[in-house]
Amino acid sequence: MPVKAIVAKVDQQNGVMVIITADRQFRCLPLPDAVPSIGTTIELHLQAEKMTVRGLLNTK
Amino acid sequence: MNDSTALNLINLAQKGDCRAREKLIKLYKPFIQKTSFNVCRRYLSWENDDELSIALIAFNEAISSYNHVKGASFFTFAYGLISQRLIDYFRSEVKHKHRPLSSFNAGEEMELSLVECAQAWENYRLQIEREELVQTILELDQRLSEYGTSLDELADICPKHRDAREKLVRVAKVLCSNVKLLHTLRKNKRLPAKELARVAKVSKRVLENGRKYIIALVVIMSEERFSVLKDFTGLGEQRKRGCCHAGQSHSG
Repeated sequence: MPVKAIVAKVDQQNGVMVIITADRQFRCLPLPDAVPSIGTTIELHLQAEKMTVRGLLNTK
Repeated sequence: MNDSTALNLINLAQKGDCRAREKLIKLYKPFIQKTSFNVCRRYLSWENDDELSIALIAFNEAISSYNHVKGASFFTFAYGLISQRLIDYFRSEVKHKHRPLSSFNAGEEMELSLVECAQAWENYRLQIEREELVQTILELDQRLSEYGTSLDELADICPKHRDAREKLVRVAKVLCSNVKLLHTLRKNKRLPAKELARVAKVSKRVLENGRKYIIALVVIMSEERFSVLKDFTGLGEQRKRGCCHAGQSHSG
């Protein structure tokens, strides 16, 4: 499910950025090719929650 | 002038002492100008720019409505109020610029120039909002460092599960709605775990694990200058519904 996020920090040296998502997550993500600037609103597809993934793997 | 002297003057002004109010305004004209500059991102002069008049009125309003019991410093409160009033002013100006277009009967060229003008104004407003957001995020990082955490660390420790996050959001809202707990947090820079666990009806372990995440949420929710982030993350919903927390962040 897509989620909106604000870019809160860009660390070009380590190739990562910190984002704050609309569902109140702070996440560290690898920088995309087009590096966004701080304050940019982006939309991304975050990995499904661990339990959901595990549930899918364990389902026969 | 130190904070306590300013606080004394504010108290006097709130009791109707016009001289104290004038003295405050006179002394903090540079603060008003600097705050306006931060919002407008251009040099402003007292003689020519309406923005400074708006900021001055907002500062005067801040003197009247500031309440030190709420915990925020006067300057934080005044900064937030001035920024808000200036943004409101820009928005009303944009609307004003749009209005004549439908009723304008002059030549097409003139109309085009008005459209361009409105577009340029809109771009300018967006740029100001973007710069303000950058400033807000930098201030948030700075504020988090006062509590011994950072955006980087929050990215590492933020709960991955929605349920876990919602539980901590609820705890943060409980803390924000309790003036005493909020004051203790701001004073000691630590979560009042024992009292909070009792009031929010959660275990101390939950608080310990989500300590820094809760602090980050409380900072965002309780300080007016982070209202953009509060709205973006949906943390301001309670206030909109007129819940118990109404007015907390507005009144210092």
